Amino acid sequence: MKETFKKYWFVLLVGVLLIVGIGYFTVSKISSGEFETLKGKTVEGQDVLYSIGDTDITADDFYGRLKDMMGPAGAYQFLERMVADATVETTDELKKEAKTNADNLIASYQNYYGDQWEAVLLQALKSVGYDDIDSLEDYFLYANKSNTIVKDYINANIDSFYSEYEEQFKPRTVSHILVKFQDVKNPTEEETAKFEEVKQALANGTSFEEVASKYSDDTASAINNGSLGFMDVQTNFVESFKNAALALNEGETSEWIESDYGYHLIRIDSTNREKLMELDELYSSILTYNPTLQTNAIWEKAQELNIEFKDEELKNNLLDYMGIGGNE
Amino acid sequence: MKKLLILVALGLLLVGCSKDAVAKLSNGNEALFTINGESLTNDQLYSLLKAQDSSYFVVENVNKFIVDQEIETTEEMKEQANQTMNLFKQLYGDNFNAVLAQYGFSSEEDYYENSLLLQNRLNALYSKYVNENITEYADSYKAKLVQIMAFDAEDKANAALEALNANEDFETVATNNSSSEVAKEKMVTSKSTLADVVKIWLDTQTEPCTSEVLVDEDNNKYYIVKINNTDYTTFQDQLVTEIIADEAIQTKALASYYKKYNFHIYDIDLLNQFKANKPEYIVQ
Repeated sequence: MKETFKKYWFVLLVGVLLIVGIGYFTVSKISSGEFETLKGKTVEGQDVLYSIGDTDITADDFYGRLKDMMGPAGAYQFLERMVADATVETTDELKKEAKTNADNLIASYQNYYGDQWEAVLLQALKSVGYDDIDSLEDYFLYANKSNTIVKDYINANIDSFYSEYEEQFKPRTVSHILVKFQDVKNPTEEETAKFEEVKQALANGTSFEEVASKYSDDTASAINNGSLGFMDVQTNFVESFKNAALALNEGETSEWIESDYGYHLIRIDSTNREKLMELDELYSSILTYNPTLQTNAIWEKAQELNIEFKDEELKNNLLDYMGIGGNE
Repeated sequence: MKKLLILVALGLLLVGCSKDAVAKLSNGNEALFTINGESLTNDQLYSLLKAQDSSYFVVENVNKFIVDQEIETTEEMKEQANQTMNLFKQLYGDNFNAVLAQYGFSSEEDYYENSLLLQNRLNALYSKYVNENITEYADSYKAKLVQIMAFDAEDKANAALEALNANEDFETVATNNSSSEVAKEKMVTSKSTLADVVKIWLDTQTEPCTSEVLVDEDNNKYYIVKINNTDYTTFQDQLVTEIIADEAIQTKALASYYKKYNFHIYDIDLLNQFKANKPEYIVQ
């Protein structure tokens, strides 16, 4: 024994130091509460979520309350996702689009929230049923699939509502030429000279597009020959511009319209349904006119996929939430 | 030696691996609906709903429990709730029920019971808490009943002071000299919005008295202040009403009752939500 100690004294010393070190580490972690875990509680076989006074609220109790208040909205999120997944094939193009959407959103969150972007985005994702930031692409994939379903549904049913929608929302594409004035009532010589030059160019027969491209002070639309794209009654344009644009018919050009920005020459490029249907904005506008078109589209597909409810109360509440109650 | 080392290492591993509790549903695996062979289960829906700041609903439930223990519903509370309800009904007209639904209330009764009446009972709870701790708040609020007059011209202020020294009535003097401030008696506290010069003078006074002309040189204003009462116990209700308007005090009051009724969370997701959003209410 003595010989063994003599022979292996260094190994033994290291061993003892290691045991003491691990022991100290463990005890210090436990006493600092770092290893402290939240203990659960069970009452009559049910897990307790929280207790107050002598009252235990179980997960079952709490779920019942949450389900009454937010169940239909939550169930609809799952329904839409499941229908989208079963109906629309996941193509490389859809994946690529989802990745682009996700990258753009992350960039805007980073820009807006700084160091906090990850926590804020994660919270937003959790509220729509996703657990981590990596699932953002999945979120967009399902959203884009859902958009495809809704778009198809609108296209198939557009004859039944388009006239009323058109009358109420006045959808159209619009272009303009802007000549900027700091103060319209007190124009500078330079501003007046430019205004005259633009008027002269148009009078000389230069096309609207060319004048917009060359002279318009709205540089964002100037690079598109003056096109502002889609608008309807809800588009957020300055009032005088919006009123003038909505009063025109396809192909018509306004007089010079004064606004806070200066003077605009406005032209309506198209009010043609087929042309407008090439634009995603038309579909957003139609969904503002009638939000239930979205839920109807999903519900129609769910029925085609033989949706089967095990919970009749949830079914009725879900249909109410979708605006379909009694119309199934 | 080897065995000892292995035991210590295992012990460390076990301590490190113990998991926080998550309260599970008893029927979590049951399907709510099935589409194309895929099911939505209770567990999935519960996880989603729980993640949507369910701590809000827990707070609502716990608050209700606490007021049930601490506060009796009075006819006055009911009357006040009814009046507010009628006001909203008039405001929203035919859309009233739709607005209630938007805010998650299933009916008028639900709104009355769980919002309007509950709020009145919560206010009573805050009052009860502040009344029980009034000395603590009275020290920091330094409440006084005062009358203040204010002038843009120094000669007006001097004339007013002279009239006051001749024992004329404060309100009358203020009116006669065109005070820009209504000279009626009001309660002021350390939280009141007052000119600095008035605040500083009030802070130094502990007994009823009248100031000289206080000059606010920055704004060319002249003030005369009369302290009528420094004994907050004679106007405690008024003081308490002001104190409980402070949301920080409301939170502090509730936190004390969460502690009194030993609020305890047994689910790590919920506990994390409280840590992030309502840490004041955590007792454990």
